[in-house]
Amino acid sequence: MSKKPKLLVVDDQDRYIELAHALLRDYDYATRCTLPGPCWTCSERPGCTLTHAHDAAEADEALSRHPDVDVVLLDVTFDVPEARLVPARAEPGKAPPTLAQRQRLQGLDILAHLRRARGDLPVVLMTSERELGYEGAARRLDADEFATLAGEAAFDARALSLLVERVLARHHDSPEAGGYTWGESAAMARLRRDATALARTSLPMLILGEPGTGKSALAERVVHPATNRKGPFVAVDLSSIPESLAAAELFGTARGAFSGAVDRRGRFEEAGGGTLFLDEVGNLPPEAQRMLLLALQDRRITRLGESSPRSVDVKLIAATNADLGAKVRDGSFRADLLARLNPAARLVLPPLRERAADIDELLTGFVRKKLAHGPDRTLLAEYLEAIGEDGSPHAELSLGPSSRRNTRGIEFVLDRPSVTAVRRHGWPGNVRELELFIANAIVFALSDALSAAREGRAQKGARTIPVPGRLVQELLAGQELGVIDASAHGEGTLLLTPRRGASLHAVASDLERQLYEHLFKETGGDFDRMAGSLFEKPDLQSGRKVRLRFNQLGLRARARPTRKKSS
Amino acid sequence: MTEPRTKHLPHDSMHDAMHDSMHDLIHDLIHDVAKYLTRVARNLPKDGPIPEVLGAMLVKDLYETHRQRPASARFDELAHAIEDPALRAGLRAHLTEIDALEQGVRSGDAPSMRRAAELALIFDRELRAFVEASAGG
Repeated sequence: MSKKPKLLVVDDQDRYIELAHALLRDYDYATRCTLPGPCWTCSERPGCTLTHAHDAAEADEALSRHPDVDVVLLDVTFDVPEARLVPARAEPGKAPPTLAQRQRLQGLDILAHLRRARGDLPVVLMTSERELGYEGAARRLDADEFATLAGEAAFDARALSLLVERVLARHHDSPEAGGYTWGESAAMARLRRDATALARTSLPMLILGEPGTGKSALAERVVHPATNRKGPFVAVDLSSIPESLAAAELFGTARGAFSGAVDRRGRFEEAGGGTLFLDEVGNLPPEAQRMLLLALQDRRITRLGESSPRSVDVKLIAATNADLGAKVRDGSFRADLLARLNPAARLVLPPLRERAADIDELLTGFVRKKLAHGPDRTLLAEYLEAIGEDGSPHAELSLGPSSRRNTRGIEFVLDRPSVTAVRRHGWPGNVRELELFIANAIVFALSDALSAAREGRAQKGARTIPVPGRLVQELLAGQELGVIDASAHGEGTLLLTPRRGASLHAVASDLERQLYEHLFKETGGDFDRMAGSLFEKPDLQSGRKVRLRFNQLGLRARARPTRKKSS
Repeated sequence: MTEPRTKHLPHDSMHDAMHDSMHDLIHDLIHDVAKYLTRVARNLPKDGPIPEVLGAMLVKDLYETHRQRPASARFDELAHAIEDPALRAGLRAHLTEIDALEQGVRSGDAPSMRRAAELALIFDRELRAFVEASAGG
């Protein structure tokens, strides 16, 4: 990874940050300061109080400034005035904690506070179980998968660094962080072995698989980290780049190479020292294929408009769902380029229907990931509040009967008939389709449960949410996208066919492309008239904007019908 | 600044509360004295010069720790939690020796710093052994 992990230290005094700055310099730090550079080189350092957060409010401030924090190092005892403590929680049947008790375990309250916003943020509590001392404290931590006690490592820089690395690795592999779910099928086990072995070589890699099987996820989350390369992971979707721009996008341009060209690095240079992932490589136009072949042979690229080549050091991963052999036979893909892409060691992602045994594990992982961040997590927190439950918003999925005893947080339950239906479904859109299905199912079920709780129709403390069987049936039926029935719509209705199994972005681009094609034909290629249909208030520039977008969508103006010349 | 935590303890409550208050005192001994005392001691390079930044931190750990006072002063406030007078005296002796090394540590004298760090680690080890034994018993 090119980026150093970023740590946030939350400590009422300077002890941990001093230690970290003195001895843990392989990390970036989330400070509340705007000056560039590491703190230990800063001339303002003596007396600076912005290097870290001293309480919950300052932790919020630091996290809002640095949403990319990787790990929080959190002190437990905070010797600060009451006004700066997280408000005390009233526990039924117990006397409210004294100020001293609140100070002594303030770190746990800050942890709960952080969890409201960031459920999967790894937190290392700079204490040991013995120091925590209270049974209740240990119980509160049991439910938190991403909290780790530093124990003896708290003040041992080397041990602490190793602990942070372990925490980062564990988090990286978790469903919440989008870790790759391998499942238990033999095909995936082979794929895992081959992918990690090839990643460590200098050979290019070719990933094949149907749409939605997870080719880009395999490249980004598995192969790139396994390369141990310091540079970034750069992904290029060649299906979304107009043919005429593909070479410039990949190899860069020099000023004056063509009208409007500026000095710009291409994706090869951006990925220097790292990994370049070319998705839908079968869409590469002939000239860009030639340049890619040279890049693979010589490890050098030449920007468009330049004559001197530049050295590049990238691990190349290409992916496609097309039959490249057939493309070679019909002449649309170079045989020598295919040979360079190392087809003998290709990685083939099996379709979901061939790894049905993995469906359960994928479903449970997707639910945890879906509710770990963003608005869905907020919805879950609102539900917890509505049923009078405290604690970190977390949810698990149970398949078949409820397994309440083994589940922490909220439990979503798919009943047996639903589980059977899910396992029998064909999943033509593969893993992507499965992820969308379960995301919809839990969000609809959660929304209904929240409404019921707010209207007083739910039991207090109802931590189990059944996913209705009818909802599952509707969602599975709705996965089959079809052409919209024209008869159901009025005059002027345009029929557009969404691409099955594509990402939302790809679907939107495809629909937009269809719309532009339709208008192009309808107007005889008149961009001003097209603008009249597309813009609410077209102006003199609208036609030009439409032509630009038309080109960006990869459509060809030269295909327009011949227009009569006026004499 | 808040008042010292020990003032908030329920001294006049029943047995459980007394137990809790002793528990709190032990916790404070480990947290405020042993843990902070060993921060730099655990990380000193085995040989060679001691970086200036670590020297400054060591001074803070030993002589300007809990509310800018020496670790020994904080120990004296909490030491009655240790019922064994011999252990209490032994632990205090380590801190007395650390206090005696203050001038050398502050002036950056490496042998003084290493000896003080060694004593800090011994103190921590003996106190934690006592806590473990108490919990086990």
